[in-house]
Amino acid sequence: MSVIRDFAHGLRDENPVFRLVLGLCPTLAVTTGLEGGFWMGVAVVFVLFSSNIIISALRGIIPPRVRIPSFVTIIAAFVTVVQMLMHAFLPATFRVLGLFIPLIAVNCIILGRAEAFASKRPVINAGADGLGMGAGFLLALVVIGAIRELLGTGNLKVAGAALLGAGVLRQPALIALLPPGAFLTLGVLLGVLNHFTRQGRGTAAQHMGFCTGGHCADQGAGGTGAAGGGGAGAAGGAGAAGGGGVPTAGCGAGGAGGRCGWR
Amino acid sequence: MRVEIAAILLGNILINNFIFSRFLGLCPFFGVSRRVDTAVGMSLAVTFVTTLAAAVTWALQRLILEPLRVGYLQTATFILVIASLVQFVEIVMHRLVPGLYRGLGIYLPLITTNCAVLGVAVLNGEQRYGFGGAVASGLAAGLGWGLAIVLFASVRRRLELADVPPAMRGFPVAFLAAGLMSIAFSGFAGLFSRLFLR
Amino acid sequence: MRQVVKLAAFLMLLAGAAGAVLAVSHNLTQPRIARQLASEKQGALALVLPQATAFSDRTAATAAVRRRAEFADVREVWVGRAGGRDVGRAYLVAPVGYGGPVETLVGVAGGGRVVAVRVVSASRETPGLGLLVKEQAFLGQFSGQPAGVRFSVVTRRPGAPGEVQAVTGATISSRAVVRAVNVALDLEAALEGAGAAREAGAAGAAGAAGAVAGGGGG
Repeated sequence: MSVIRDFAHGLRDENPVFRLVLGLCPTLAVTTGLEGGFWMGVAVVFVLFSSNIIISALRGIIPPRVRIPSFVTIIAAFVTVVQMLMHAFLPATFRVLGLFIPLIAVNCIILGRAEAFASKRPVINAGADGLGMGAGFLLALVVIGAIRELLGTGNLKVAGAALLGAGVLRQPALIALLPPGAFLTLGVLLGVLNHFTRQGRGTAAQHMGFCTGGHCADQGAGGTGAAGGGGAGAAGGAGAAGGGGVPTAGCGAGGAGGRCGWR
Repeated sequence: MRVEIAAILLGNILINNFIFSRFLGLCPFFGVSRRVDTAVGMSLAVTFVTTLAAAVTWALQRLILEPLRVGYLQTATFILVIASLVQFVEIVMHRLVPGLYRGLGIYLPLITTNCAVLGVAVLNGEQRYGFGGAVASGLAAGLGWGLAIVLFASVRRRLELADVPPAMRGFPVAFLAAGLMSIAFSGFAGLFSRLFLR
Repeated sequence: MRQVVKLAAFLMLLAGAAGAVLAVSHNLTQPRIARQLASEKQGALALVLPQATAFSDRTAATAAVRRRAEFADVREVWVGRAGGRDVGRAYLVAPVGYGGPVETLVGVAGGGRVVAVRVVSASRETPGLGLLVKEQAFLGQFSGQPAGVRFSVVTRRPGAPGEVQAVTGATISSRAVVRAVNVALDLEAALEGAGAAREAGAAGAAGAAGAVAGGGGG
């Protein structure tokens, strides 16, 4: 069923972190622990789901030329609501996540899905996509957070309770909790995933593909071509936008149908 | 005051580098750093935007959000201001320096979603900087980001020529390289703090 | 032109709707947030001045003394009372640590003796390193020191009074906390001095008034 598929692809085939390699800032910053990763994932699920639904519901009346500012406004509003809810009901987590809660609003995943999917599909599908992508993101963050916390402290803490007794490492590798450890952990993880899912070398994690909102072009040989074409197309769009007031805001420009495109 | 500005500059460029320490602005970092010349162009644009955005958001925070006690609108208003700023910068560049504008192409609008821009704006508010401090912080954030991305682009060039195992090609080995560079940058941690202790 | 007006109008409408939603959410969540902040603050104050039973906020009242540049990092000043007497003051000082402000609450009793120190917030410090300044292992070193001593950071075992051993690998964060404590002690001394001067002035004025009255009467 299409709705199920829309939900599931965000979990595995197009996992935002492991396949599309998007939304990196929070992924590396808040995964110093299992809990941090979990709650950031929950926040993103909420924002993705809500904004996808609203944007899809309003897709008929949002004028195309101001769609990006409209999306940004809607997303920012939901992010602020999440901020307030967290501050009120989860103050400790709120402090841990800190700066990265407002930064959810410029998370490529959300704006990218809004542009590529939610603004073109019915509400139910958009909602499923939002849930799926968010769940994929949550999964990725929890995995990374668990690994880093395990390596860095030898223990896993959930709601203040240590899950592994006194810890399983006599000398934890503190670097896993520090910035370098984040990069290294994700790098190794991506490499391992690539190795075991050899379903085609055309996955983004391997090729730094030119990723559309949902599909990663195998950059390979056609890479420069795609990037060149994308660049020209978007520059044209940006130029035209100078007269029309459409900040292309980095995600999607006319023709290519929605790219949160990094080259 | 000058000492504080110097501390802010060094802090944001080296000690708390926006990429290697604060994790801000990572998506374009991994996407744009394939070639050194595009990296340089992108850094200039980003630095320009971070400095301008720091100034404008400082004014927005101190002159509008705080007096009217609508601090909770910070996220939404900052983002919209930044998006408009980027659009404005695009228009100005298109008129004044069309060559550079064309050269940057798609990267210019991408700056809106660069976490570093919104990040430095929010951080400035948290640290309660004055106007001078906020602008210095924005400038330093962009410069530090640019330094990181230019250095990384040079490393990436080498990586392309290296014999990397198939599973690690592309992003995985790039992340490992970034991790090693992050270790190098963490060496700056205690370097200047003695000079600026009050 | 009409196009632009229509687009702008739509955006204004959307922004207005978003703003309204946010305002409502704010009103719904703000009371709870304020309650939490207040109880956290009271909890922290009770920890740094355990002998006090009530606290009053003297931040505004001490504004004049705090205007000096050296007290720029002081955010709040509280007085703890018990049984109708002042038993000490608590200072919230937030110097810059590694990545941002380290909010430190310092409880000071009579004579410049530090009662206890709590780090309220150090969210920009590094987990596993700088954040460890929030632990008792580090903060406990500030209690039980003689009055009037000045604190400094050392990286080996402390020898002299006032020496505090830094958290391993987190000298900058540790120094920030020590700075906070020293600033609090300085402010305490300044406030005590100002208070004593006020009393001396009042006594002097009363004496002079008495002399004038005596002279006038005599």
